Amino acid sequence: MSLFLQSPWLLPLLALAGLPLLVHLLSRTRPPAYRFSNIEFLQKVVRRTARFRKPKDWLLLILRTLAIAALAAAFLGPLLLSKSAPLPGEQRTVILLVDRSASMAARDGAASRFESAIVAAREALDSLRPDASNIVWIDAEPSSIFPEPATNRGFLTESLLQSGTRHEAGAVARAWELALRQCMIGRGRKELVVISDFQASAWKSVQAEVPPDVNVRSISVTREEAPNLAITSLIATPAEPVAGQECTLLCRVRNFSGEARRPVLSLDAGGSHQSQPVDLPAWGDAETAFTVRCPGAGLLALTAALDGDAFPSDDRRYLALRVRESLRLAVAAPATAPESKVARSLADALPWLDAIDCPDAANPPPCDFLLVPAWNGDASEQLRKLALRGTTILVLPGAGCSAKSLADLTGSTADAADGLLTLDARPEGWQASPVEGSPVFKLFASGEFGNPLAGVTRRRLRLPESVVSKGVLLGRFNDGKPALVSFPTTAAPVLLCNLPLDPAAGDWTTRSCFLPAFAELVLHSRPKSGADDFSLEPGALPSWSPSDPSQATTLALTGPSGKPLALEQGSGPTGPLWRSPLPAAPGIHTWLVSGQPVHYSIVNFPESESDLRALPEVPSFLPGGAVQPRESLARAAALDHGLPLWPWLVGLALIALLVEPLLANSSAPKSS
Amino acid sequence: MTTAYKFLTPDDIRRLRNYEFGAKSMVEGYLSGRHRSKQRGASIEFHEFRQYVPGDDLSQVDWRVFARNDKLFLRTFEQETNLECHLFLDASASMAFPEKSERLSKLEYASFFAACLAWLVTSKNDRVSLTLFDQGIRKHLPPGSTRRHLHDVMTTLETTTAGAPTDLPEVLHRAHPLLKRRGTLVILSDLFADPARLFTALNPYLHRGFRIHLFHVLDPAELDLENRGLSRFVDMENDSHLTVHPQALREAWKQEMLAHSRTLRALAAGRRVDYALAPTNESYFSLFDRFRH
Repeated sequence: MSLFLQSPWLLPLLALAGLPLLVHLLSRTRPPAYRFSNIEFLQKVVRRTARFRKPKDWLLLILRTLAIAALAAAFLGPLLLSKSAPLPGEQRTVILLVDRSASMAARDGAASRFESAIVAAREALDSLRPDASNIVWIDAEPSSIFPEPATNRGFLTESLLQSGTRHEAGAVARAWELALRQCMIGRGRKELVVISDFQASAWKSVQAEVPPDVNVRSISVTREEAPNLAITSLIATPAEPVAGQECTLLCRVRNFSGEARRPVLSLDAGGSHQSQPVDLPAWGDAETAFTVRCPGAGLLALTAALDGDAFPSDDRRYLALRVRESLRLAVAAPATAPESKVARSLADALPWLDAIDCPDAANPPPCDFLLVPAWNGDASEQLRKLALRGTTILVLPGAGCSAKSLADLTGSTADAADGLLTLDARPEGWQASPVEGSPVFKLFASGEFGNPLAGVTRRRLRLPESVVSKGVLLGRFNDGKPALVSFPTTAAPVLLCNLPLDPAAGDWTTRSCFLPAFAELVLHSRPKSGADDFSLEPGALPSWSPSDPSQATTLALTGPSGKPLALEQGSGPTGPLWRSPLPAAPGIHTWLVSGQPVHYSIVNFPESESDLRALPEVPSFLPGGAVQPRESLARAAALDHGLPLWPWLVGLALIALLVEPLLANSSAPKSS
Repeated sequence: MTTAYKFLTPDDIRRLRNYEFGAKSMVEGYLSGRHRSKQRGASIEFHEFRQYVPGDDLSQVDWRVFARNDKLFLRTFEQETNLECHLFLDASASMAFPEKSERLSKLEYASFFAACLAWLVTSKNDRVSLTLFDQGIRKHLPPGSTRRHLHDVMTTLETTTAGAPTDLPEVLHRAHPLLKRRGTLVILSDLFADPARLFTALNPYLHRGFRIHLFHVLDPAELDLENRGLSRFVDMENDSHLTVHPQALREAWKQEMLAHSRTLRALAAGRRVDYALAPTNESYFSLFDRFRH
């Protein structure tokens, strides 16, 4: 409601309202003295009547003030204009910002939050009756129904009825911006109605700025707290196991409720089922490990599931693993080199390891492990990039390699005094042993399998301390010099080995411990997380580009329910790309070629949407809440349609003036 | 007739000739006079027969009774004696009310009445005493009936001004030994005192047979608070003050004063004490009617 004054220049008249109070105060400060015969009796009477007289005095004062204030206000000619009343010739644009993120699927009683939101949105459209309106959806990719506010409210209502929640987190900030842009496009009075569950995790960080001419109204559809359990992550270690290898699956479960819970968590790994209970504290989480043996090479789909609860969307989590038949060890050395021979011997002994030739260390073929013996310091940056892309680099520097190249490769800094690496030789050699507590050689910690680095090293390099000190020491010689150092990166590590693979320089490779020690080194040096090319963001379109174009003829995609999905062809960076036109729902989407799965598109429920708690209070977006219409237009509207208040004020003053003498003359109750 | 007294005018004397001051009960006196006394003596009013006991005056023996039944009886008569009137005049500060007014103050009104009463008493050869008091006895003139005594009474009244706070019960207690003979006790006061305490102090007088007249002298403005707007009421006796709006208290005040007067009247009636409310806007001559037999 807005209040307008016809005669605002008379505002000082309102100061008259203070007159009774002023008179009261002034008269009390210095009343005339009157010498009286006996005050004691008077005090007794005052005490007895004070209980009735004091409230009466205050009431009289209020009545007198009210009467004068009402009379003074009547002269100002106040006019009351409803805020929602349209100004003459003014249009109204209403934008509904409706949340349909995953959390809106939660049920508060009989209806879901989204169903409540639809009802609220329809009511807003019906009650506000805008000249132009539009709906902006809070999705992962916010969108509006019309490109700009339009007059077709019926279509908006229909769109509301046909819409549903998305299995994705809403991009609130971007949706807000889009809604404001829509408001700016609109004309006349602009109103933005926000209908959401105001999920705390989504809204607490939103800095909603409201232009001064936009009036924002918030409607919350959250009625009660919804306790919820959710699987928030499912991680496999190693990310790409080798056939026959055991894979550990870590499953994290969170409890979004104030009560401790003990649900049963189950895992389906390619048809084999495991389950175990999980103890969840109130508002806490727990992690459970499953061990899965990967029987053969190929794709392995895993599904972790919880007992059903009131919000089942996040009770499942999916993962796909690519089980490798073998790991590839590239050797950047001539086939006749002793190191190549050792590598091939290893590949022959280990069924899961293939040795391949690599003529150019800087451009190796696809491999998991690159062995660079007698490295002279070339292409240090390229090698480091390989490590950052996930290929473990095992470098055996040769004499003449510069300390700077070594520092570049390992990501450390060499001292200026460190020049070229020099050889250190001794006929009786040096003994090497692993550093205690090193996880790489944990298998050997008991001593049952002996010393993994046992042997005599007769020739080694003098490694610069400035470089070595930046790495993690895995093994050392008996004189304390480093034998094996690891330099972790964000993906795969760079291993610096001072133990010669050439039998002429040391007999480590001829010892029985060499094979298991090298195998452990290879397995533990693999990247913890592989390149996940299965995961898809919720709401994204499942797509895949077959490596063999001929596969496209029999290509099909099935959704999580097993039903085939429509496909459309596009073009990707590596060739033809096939995609589904519909956003992906949580679950496993299977790409089939001739009926056989060749790829998975995994969509998981967004973790942020599982916490269904709403903001403590529905946000009020200011200053839009106090929207000020254009003064002249509003004044004109008030003069035409405003409700004149002066008769009410005069009436109020008259009532006050009538009651005042009645109250003033009323006597205190008679004494007994 | 001319007088030089402020509180006794020739008109008053002329009117007083029509009044008589008498005791409604028996009085004690040492002169044979107009008033009956409980002391037996010589007069014409027969009282009773009483059997002779040795020592009685033989002249009072009724010989006719002796002749008839051979027994000695004395014929006794009521003795007439003079009357003593004890005037107690309140001269406390509150009696000066109203100040700076055309109306008589309560003290002036009471003084006029006391002067007239003193003249009336002495004019019949009865004796009058005067006690001026506030919180104590300020002045006491013993009973007398001479012109000189009346002059002293008049002079005392004229020179009296309102003084300290009132304590009538205490004054009555202290004055009790001063009154040797019983008589009529006339108290003129505004009686702003605790009624129960006041009548407790009067009890010794009642036991001695005093006839008590209690005149409650009040100004009309005390009976009905004047409507004078918001005022700071200052106590004339102790300077304490209170800011009130009299109009707001008027009804309650009237009720309070009425209740006070009613209490005094009820207590007086129970003890055969004469109580009269004496507003200063009414003639004090009406009060003389209360002294008739």
